[in-house]
Amino acid sequence: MQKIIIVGAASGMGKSLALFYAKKNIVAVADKNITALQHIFSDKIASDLICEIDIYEIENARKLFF
Amino acid sequence: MLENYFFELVNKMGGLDILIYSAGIADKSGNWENELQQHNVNAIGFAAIANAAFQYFKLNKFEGQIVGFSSVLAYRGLSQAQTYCAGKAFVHNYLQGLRHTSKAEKLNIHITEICPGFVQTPMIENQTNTFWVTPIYKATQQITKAINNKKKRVFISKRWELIKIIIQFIPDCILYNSFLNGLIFRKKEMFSVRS
Repeated sequence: MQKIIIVGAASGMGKSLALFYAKKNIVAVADKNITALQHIFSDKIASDLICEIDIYEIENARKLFF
Repeated sequence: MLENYFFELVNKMGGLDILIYSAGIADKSGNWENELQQHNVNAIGFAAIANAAFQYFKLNKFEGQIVGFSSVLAYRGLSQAQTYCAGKAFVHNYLQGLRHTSKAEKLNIHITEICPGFVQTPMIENQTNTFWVTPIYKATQQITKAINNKKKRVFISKRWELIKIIIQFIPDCILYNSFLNGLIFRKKEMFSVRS
């Protein structure tokens, strides 16, 4: 089982990729990346980033996106 | 700081095989706040995540793959799209540099660059005069195939490489008055939408 991180799953392409890979892999999706990354070097956002990134297996990915 | 959180996430996952960074935003307003946000997401954010992944693979001597999304527009600075073009050029060059580093240091880190043209995502739903639009399912198939085959670079769809060649080599004096200006104009209309 491959372990994959997808950053930027807010776009249609990211969702599609996440769903594709979530069928047989562990996928972590970083959503709301704009908010997280625009202040990527600030402590606040850095500590929030791990909250916005979570680990989703297929069922959770489906719930997230559809 | 970010690196620590990235490593924490990877540990929670039990490892990492592939990092895919597809984030990208665009805005045509010319407002500096919006432009800065674009730089932060398209360039700085990408570099931060790609660097963390590269270090993870390198320090642990793991095989891995980093996938970045540049664009056909990475190859030329175009009218009213300078921020977007510059950001995508950054991604293109950064990935190229990582690939060379990986080869030079004999690391087993594969670098893949995805260069999309128009893809049928919600952001072009209200656009007119688009062409060579790739259905999202087909785009995903091509992207995942390129990732699985550890390709260096792929255009989505393949024929967009022709536009890249034209954009890259057409002289300025012709570009200014060519249909490509229209292309970019239509393209920039999408720029208020998150891509």
